[in-house]
Amino acid sequence: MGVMLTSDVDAAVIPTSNGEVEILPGHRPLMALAVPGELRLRRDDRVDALVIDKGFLYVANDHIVVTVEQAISVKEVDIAAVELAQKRAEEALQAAAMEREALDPEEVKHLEAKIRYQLAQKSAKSQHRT
Amino acid sequence: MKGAKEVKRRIRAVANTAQITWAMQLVASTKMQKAQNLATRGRPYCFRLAELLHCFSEEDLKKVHHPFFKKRELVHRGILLAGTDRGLCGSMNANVFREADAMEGNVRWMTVGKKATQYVSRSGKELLASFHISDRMDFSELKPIAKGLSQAYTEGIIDTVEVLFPKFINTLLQTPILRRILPMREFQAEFEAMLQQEHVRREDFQVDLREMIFEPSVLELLEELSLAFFQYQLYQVLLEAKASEQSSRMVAMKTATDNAEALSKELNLECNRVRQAAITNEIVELSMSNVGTEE
Repeated sequence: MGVMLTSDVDAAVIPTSNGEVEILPGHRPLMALAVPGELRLRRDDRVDALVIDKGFLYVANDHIVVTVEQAISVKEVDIAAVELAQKRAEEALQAAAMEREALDPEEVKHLEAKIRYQLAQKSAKSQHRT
Repeated sequence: MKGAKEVKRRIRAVANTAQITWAMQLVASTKMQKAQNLATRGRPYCFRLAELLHCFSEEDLKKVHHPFFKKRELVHRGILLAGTDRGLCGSMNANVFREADAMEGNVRWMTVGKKATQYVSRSGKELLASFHISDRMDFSELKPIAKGLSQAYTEGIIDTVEVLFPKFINTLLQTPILRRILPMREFQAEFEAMLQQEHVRREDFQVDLREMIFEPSVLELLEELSLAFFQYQLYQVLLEAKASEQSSRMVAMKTATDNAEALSKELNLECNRVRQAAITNEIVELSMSNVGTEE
């Protein structure tokens, strides 16, 4: 928890429920649902990439605030750890599906979101390697 | 006058106590640092969510059918009382419970921590549920609490969700604060109050007067946002309470250690005085007997 990153950027691309959104200076105020995926920040010629979990995107006054449950810099993504976490989440999901009565929709939603976050980490990592 | 032996025994006892409180102080101070970090780092997250909710107009809020936003008659207040599991943390619990005594209206209580549960049941108040949370403060531990509260609220067992907790200000200062979490009506007023309680400046929030785009829709955003805000606000409140507990315990143990050390010094002087008195006595007796034989 906490503020992960504060920086000045020329442009930012954020994955939202309506697809990727690119925010440039002078963008209209916007509020959107951020979804698990890759967030890219461009400054001069450098592009920084982060993987974010679900949350909210808020743009106002040329300020972009992305409030998410988790985020990790692509450089720090550890594929082995991600795969382990993903496997664990999938197993939990399967176990939940087995016993139908005890299926808590909120819990399933939570697990699915977790898996999506992990998949996003994997795809981001593989893209940046090539 | 007490014998030197008696005084020495007391010195040993006091030294032992000092050692124990010193060890407890060390444990509390490491836990305190962690808890304080968590509490202060979590604050911006809650503000950002509050900032987002702040963007919606009262008109928007009226359109939502989610129970969190429904206005209804107040019959039972629901107050979550945050206490500690263990004692030896100074007057923190007592301060919070004093506030609890002053609560008005028809209150149904929920508690976190054994001390809070004991207080509520001893004072004959209506206890609805009691929860437990460990020192690790995982977000997953919050789930049953959030669920219990929102369920009780949705079913109409309680008509508000308020939290009474010791807010962490700094290591030496924690103040009991009552915060209303549900319903999220008249959010603007709540928001102003929260800013004031947290000493946040208005300038830190971005205000843009152009018309805002909401994606995918106002209703969907509000639904997600209200749930997130509800959960994280609860989490933040409990983090604050934990940070307060550890700080309060650290300070209490430090005071105890200091007191024990001061007492031990005093007793040492006493011990020396007793020994010196005994020696003087012996010398006086010796010289007296000398004088006696010389005559």
